[in-house]
Amino acid sequence: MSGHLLLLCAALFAATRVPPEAPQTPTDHVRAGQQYQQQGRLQEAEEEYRKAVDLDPADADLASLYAHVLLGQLCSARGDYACAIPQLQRALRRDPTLAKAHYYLGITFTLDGQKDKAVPELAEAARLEPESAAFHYYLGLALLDVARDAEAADALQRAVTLDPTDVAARTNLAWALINIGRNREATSVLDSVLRLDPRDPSAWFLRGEARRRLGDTDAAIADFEKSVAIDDRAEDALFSLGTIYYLRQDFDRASDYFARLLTLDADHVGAHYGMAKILLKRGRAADAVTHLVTCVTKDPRNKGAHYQLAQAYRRLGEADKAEKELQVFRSLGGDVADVDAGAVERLRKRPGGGGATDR
Amino acid sequence: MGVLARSLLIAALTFALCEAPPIGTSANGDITFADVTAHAGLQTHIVYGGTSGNTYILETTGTGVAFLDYDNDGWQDIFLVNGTTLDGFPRGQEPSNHLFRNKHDGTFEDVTVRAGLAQSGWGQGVAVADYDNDGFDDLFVTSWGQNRLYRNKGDGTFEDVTARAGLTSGRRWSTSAAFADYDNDGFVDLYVAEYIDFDPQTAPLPGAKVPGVNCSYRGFPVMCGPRGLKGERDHLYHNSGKGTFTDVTVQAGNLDKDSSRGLGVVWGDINNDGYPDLVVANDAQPNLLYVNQRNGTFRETGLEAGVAVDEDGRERAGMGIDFSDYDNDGWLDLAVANFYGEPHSLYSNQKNGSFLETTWASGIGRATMHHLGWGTRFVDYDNDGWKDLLLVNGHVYPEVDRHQLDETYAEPTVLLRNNGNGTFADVTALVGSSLAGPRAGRGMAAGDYDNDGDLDFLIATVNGPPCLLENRGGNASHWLTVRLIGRRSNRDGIGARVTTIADGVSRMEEVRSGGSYLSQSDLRAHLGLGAASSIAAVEIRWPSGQVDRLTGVPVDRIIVVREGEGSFTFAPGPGNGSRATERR
Repeated sequence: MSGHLLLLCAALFAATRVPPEAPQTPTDHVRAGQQYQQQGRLQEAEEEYRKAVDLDPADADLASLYAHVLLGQLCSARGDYACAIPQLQRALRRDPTLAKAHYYLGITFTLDGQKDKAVPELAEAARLEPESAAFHYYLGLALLDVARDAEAADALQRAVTLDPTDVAARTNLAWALINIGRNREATSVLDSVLRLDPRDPSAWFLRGEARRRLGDTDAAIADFEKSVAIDDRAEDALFSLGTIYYLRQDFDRASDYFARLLTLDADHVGAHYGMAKILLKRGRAADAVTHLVTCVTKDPRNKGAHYQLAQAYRRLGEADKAEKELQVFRSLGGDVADVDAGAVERLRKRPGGGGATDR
Repeated sequence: MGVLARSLLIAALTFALCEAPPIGTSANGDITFADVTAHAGLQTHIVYGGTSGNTYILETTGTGVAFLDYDNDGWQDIFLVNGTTLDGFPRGQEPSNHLFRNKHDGTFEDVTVRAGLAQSGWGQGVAVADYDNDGFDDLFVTSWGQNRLYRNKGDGTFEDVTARAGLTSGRRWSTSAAFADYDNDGFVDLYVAEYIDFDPQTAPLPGAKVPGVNCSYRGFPVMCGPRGLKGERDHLYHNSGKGTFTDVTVQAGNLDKDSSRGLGVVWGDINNDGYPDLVVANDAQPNLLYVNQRNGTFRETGLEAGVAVDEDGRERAGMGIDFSDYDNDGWLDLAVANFYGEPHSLYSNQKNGSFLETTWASGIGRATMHHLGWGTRFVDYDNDGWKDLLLVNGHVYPEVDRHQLDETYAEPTVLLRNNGNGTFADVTALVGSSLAGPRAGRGMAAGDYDNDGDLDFLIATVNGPPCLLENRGGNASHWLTVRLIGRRSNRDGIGARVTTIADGVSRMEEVRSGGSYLSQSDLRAHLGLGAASSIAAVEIRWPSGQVDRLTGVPVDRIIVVREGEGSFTFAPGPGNGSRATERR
């Protein structure tokens, strides 16, 4: 778990100067645990919190209640979510108004992949402490994780209002706004991000994306290129540039960007796919097949690659192979399960990494 | 040269570049479209579903329009399909379909009741053809409910012959329909696209959490569908020639066996074999291309032919559809209108049964990404001899206006001018403000209602008035309009191919029923001829196989050609007043 959470934890309890020796009560053990925690001796801190809990199986003492919260936080920090979740839930059964317990629990659910469960916990934390920018921020991230982008935008807007200097909140707000089709607003938010941090490649990428969706592809290209100039490993920007130039039928430039992407990541399916489409346009079906086979090997459910492979085989006169690919394509069915996919193009990857560990 | 002078020169050059017309624009820069709806007397209101939000997908599809000459006076009349609302209307106050008779002076009179066409309900589309070859065009009107076949009695009135014709269907959600004589027996057959197996008693409500069903848009609840909603099977009806139709959907090749969500239909001879083929635009499902096997059956080849999905294998939300030869190579090409965020699709015929998607190469992709398209028609609006593309747009969710999105419910209609080199330029802003709207557009038909030699447009909106747009200036270039009368072929010559040869250039148009979206355009073949002041020959390939070759046909006239006569007469229009005369 990040230092950010440790600091929040420390803020929950005032620092104590009680020596660790000879504690007798849950309170003593909690104080000792906190001291260890402050010293970075997390295993010993966890042991002290367990002792506090063990001394008070009925959770009668307020200290043992806190011990559950702190234990949950430390378990979560070391990735033991099976340990963390019951501790935090137990504390909340005793006192449902513990905002930070909801907060830790929500983050733990996120880290454990239980994204749907994270949202109500973080929403409750934000409700209990509406002035906490962090709570709204993480609620926003959790909502983004479950594709509830409109609500995410509201939460992140609140986080930005509470902490106008928070670049990550603004960037994620822009991401949410793009996903819900409010690209003009997203552009404005990203303008502010770039004023705060003009060297943020993800902000340049996102503004490019918003502008692309607004139909201003020239401006989008400029932003994507800026992102790449700052970070020559900015894969999303390189991919977008390749795609835009492909759609403009500027196959030389598109090819350059996809090739750059492949030097960074030889397994980049999107780049292989883009290269294949260009090669097909140039009448080089055999070369396209090589890239497309790579695509379907790495991503067997890639409908586009199977479809293009069928076209490539047909051009090579290999009708049987073409039909086989079309059969695979048909077997992959429609996208009914992903009901929004046809209507809304959602950005693939949220800026700033995933989950709760980016702060 | 001083710095200031140099700067001024550069500025002047820059200005000149900015003002440069799109590629190919020459003498046609003065064309405008005027909204003449009110002047024409089309003062009616199309009612369709909710105004601020929709409960069901039923409320989104809107209605169609038609140009037809129901009284054979040589002037295009207008038929408007109307809908209703979930709440309905008090008895006697229901909105009804409308028939407007062309008064030859730019105005129309509402003759609906007199004509016996005051039908109400969830009307959808309209197709026009003379199904019984009696010389008068009949109407087929689709709906969520019972479709209706109205036989034109030739005296200004119609009779509902649905049951007698064997077209009783019960309640279905039929959308676009189109006539064509698929077996070339001289009588037009009928294809009816069906959309969704819809029942308001069981349909999920906005925002519902039903696995696999889309009930939200960009995070807010909206009517559910189309994804996840079960489609309904299309129908092909064979015309017996005795006033009845037989459902041959299965016999003809087990058509639409997966019951896809059909919205647009167009017939066209894609392989130049003299038999009409068929494309169905499906909503969020692969489009279907049925190739006529010339034995009463069809083979579905959409995927192999490259028109079923986009180049990335994704189903688009196909709505409007049209065939025409946009590159003047003698082979029909295809356009399909799609959803917001998807480009409208253009497919170039490769002359081997397959199509190449040219959406992005043509510039159409970039011009249409931010529109939700319906009415779709190739129209040579400037008569330069190259088919342009008119696209009527409008969102399906009225709610988008309440959520500060970049998209809006009312959308601009888009006119894309064919540059003659495989690309199109968006000239919407160059033809006056009336064409663009914006509006919640749906059906659209093209036709020369004032017989002045250029194509006018008729647009249906959702919960708004229709829109009649008069083309002003399109007839500055030369043109020819041909009304066909079949003898061995079906009476309207539907499926016939008219080719003009002028200035060494061949240009082709196929007479087609249906197409666009829910609508019927002028059944006369209209061909722009550009600067050509004479026509070397006009060739008509009839569905019967008869080929008529005419010479001595003047430009800028509306002519009537009867199958097998090798001659033509003049119809009302420029140079001929309002009465037809025999030419030779």
